Amino acid sequence: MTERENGGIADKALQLVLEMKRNPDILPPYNAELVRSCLHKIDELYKLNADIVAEMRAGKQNDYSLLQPRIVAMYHIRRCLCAYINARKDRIRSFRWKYGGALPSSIRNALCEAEIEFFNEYSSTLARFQGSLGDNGVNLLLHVEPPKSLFVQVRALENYGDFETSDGTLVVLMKDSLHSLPRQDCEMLIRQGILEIAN
Amino acid sequence: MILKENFRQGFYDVIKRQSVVIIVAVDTDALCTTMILSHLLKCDDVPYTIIAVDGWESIEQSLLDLQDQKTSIIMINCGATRSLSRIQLPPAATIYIIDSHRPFHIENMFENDQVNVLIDEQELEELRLPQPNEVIKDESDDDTDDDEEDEEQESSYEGRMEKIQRKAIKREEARLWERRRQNLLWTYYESTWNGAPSCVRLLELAAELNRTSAEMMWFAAVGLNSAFIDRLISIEMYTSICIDRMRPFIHKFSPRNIVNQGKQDDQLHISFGKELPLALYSHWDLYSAMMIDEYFSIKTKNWTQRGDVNIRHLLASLGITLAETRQKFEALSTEQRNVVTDILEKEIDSSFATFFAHLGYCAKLSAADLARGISVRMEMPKTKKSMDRFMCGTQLLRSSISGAKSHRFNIQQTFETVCQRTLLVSWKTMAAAINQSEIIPNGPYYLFSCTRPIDEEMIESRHFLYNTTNFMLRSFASMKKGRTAKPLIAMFPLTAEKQGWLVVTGVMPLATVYEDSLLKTCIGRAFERVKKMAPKLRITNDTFDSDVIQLKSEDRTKFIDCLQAIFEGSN
Amino acid sequence: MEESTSSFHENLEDEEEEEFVTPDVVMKRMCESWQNELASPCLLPSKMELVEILLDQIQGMEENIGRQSDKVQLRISVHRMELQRVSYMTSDYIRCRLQKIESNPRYYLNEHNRRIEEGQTELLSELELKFATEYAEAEAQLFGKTVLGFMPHALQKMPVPVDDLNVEMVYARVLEDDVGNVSIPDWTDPNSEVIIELEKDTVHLIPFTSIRHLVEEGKMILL
Repeated sequence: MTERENGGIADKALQLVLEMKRNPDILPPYNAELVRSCLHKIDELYKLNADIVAEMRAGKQNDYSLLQPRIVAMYHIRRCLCAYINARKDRIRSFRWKYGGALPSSIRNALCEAEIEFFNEYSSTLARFQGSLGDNGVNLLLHVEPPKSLFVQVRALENYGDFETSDGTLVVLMKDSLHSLPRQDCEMLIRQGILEIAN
Repeated sequence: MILKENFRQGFYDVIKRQSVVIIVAVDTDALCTTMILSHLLKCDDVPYTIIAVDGWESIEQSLLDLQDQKTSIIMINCGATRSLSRIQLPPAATIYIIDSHRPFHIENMFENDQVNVLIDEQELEELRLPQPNEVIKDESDDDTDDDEEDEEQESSYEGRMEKIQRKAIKREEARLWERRRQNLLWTYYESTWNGAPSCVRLLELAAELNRTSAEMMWFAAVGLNSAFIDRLISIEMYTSICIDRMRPFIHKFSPRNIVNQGKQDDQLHISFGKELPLALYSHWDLYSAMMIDEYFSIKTKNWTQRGDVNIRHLLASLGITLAETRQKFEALSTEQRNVVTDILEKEIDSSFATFFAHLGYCAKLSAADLARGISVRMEMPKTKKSMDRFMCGTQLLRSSISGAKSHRFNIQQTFETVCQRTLLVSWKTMAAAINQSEIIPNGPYYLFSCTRPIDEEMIESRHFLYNTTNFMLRSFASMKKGRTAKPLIAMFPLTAEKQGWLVVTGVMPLATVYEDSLLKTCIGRAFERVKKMAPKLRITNDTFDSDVIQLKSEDRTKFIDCLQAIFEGSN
Repeated sequence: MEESTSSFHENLEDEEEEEFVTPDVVMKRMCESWQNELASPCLLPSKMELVEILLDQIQGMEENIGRQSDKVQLRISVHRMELQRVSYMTSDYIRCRLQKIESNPRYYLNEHNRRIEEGQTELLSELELKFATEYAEAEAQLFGKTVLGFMPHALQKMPVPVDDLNVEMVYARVLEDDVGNVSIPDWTDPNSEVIIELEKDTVHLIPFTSIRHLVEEGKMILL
């Protein structure tokens, strides 16, 4: 029953935190293994403490000097774990704002099941909220920037086909064609990657 | 249908009510026209689409995609020379053509109600259009014949004879009419040329709408210069357009040096002044600029062995030191620059003048140089998508007046890398052709068959081809007397994907007299006739310029023979 | 913009409002609320009723414009731009609030309930309350299923961070007369305070907690 391992107790937990910190732009896959070992560590520490308390109650042990550090260690590991989940959660939230309700499969593969459930739940909560605003609901993905002009020049990246703008004009979006269209109509297509802003 | 006046009501007010689709050819004049037009549309909040096309196939494909549209389709610098009735047009759309290619196809002018061709009234006479009733078959004649037949009840012998006679006369008339029509069409379509660049037309339209700005004028100036640089219009026509049509704008947007006492403001000002016709000399050193320039090159015959010596003599006689020419032009002091420019001006004695853009403290930029840069960027490499090249050209044009240092640097880069290289390759091709006697007389014309593959990016560029072949013919003629009467046909091999094909183009003989100062060429027509004569030859003439075609190398000999027959036949 | 004013009026008269507010006032208040919300370090009481009014107006305007067959371009363009600006402002306001709620839902839910008990203005609107509750639940689910569920009982509770607003400083301007005085902690002496007099149109760089109640009452605006 020794804690003399190579490295510290909360090393693995630290690793989790560092993993997120080192990858600010992409989401690394959910590191179930590290999470599991951290939880295991907490369990270990807890059991060690419980044993000592039991022994103390039984009057066999008086040395409770290791209790407090173990508790602190447990809280520390818990904090690292929460930070890890929290950081991932924040990024998942940003995906909803970037991609709408549908995640690209590359990101989907990096999430664990609970995270996917969270994403779906978040999306639907947001959708319910949006839909109940005003009479027709408000799409919060639109109007992200203060508008500079009514029309914006965009270039079609693929053969999208027919597209109707808000004032009724029908436009054919062919690959590599330049268009000048009302800003609000383009925003969703720009998000989906069908149009890109051209200067 | 022809639209020759009232462009504002007949054209602009109509198109701005609905959305607009602009189909634009990838050349500098079309780019400038599109910039002006899209600016006007943007001010009026009209949604528009721009589609860049390289050839007739792309046009057909785009029109197919637009089948259900109820918009106005504007074709810029494309669509005039072939009949649009043969292509499947979207039934609900109206088509407007603003094209500088001439001659217009008769069917587009008279027979197609969906198509409107915009022409200036004064140019209408130049075109020498045949009268509509001379070339369009009048359907009513046949009908009356049938009516007569039905109503005719008489069965007497005289009556029948009369009837037969009448019919015979009518048939004879029809035959004569048909023959006359063929002749008219023959003379009408005999040569192809380029009219005034479309950008000027659009600038005048903007003036009618009271929406001109210095930027628009600059676009028009660049487009106009590009037409001259690419040898599409003659110097006389260029000068007359500058003087007649561009003059009101020159006064409006000129730099107000006197008023502001030489202080610069942040506005764009355009000035018009004399300029040396040396390409890119102010961004280069004089020696190179003179070396690749037609006038100096031919004068010193700098492709021969004595060329170097000749150059030195020339420079000495002009009073310019060799050191001065080797330095970058910008590195010369202002005094030296003025002195050298004066000397060269006197020597060349040309009447070339161009537009300069003055913006803040940036060095002034000449429209001619910018036109060269844009042409080069837009036409090569052909492997790049047409829209990508079009956007490149747009960016270059915009950065010329943006005032940002990085943009100016970009332009400088373009000049130094691509432009100068193109000019050098052009010169080298010419030099090799003459030094290795690759230009051979072949009966009624001179034939140049290039054996080495030239830079694959440049070879399909119209700018490069026209420049090189013209240069070649002139230098060739300067080597010996009596070489000015025959045209030059040049063939260049293509490489990479198009291996096994040749690019063929031609230049009219130097001695041609151009009436009306229009650069008319019959080469395109000759190529068409070869194609008709020998349909088995694999010829692609997809571009909008009929005198640049692609030919399969195996059919080379047959092509040469057919061409010979045609030239001899027309003589 | 007379047309828009008249159409705003029409829409407003239909509403059962206690005070009769003109559309200009609505816009002004919305602007102020938006500015405050963006600048403040914590969630401010909800002004969603303003948003609802504006959303109504936007829709009315859009219908109006759609019906214009004449298409006198300049007027329509100007109206459309105005609509886009208003839409942007309302969307940004909503987004800002959502962000703040999402950063700490349990804390704000507690605050909201506390304020109701103490009789202060509501922190969250009805819809936001629903959103916050559902979001907090989803978050708890996520944490529970990944880490907290596997921990010993004592560690299973979700941590609720509390912001220390005492260190937040904001720029603010006084809007009205007779605002009175506020006290701010004196940094030279931890136990005493300094009294600042607030005169109209003065701009201060001041701890947020000292003027929070004034901002909520509308007497000061954050910059």
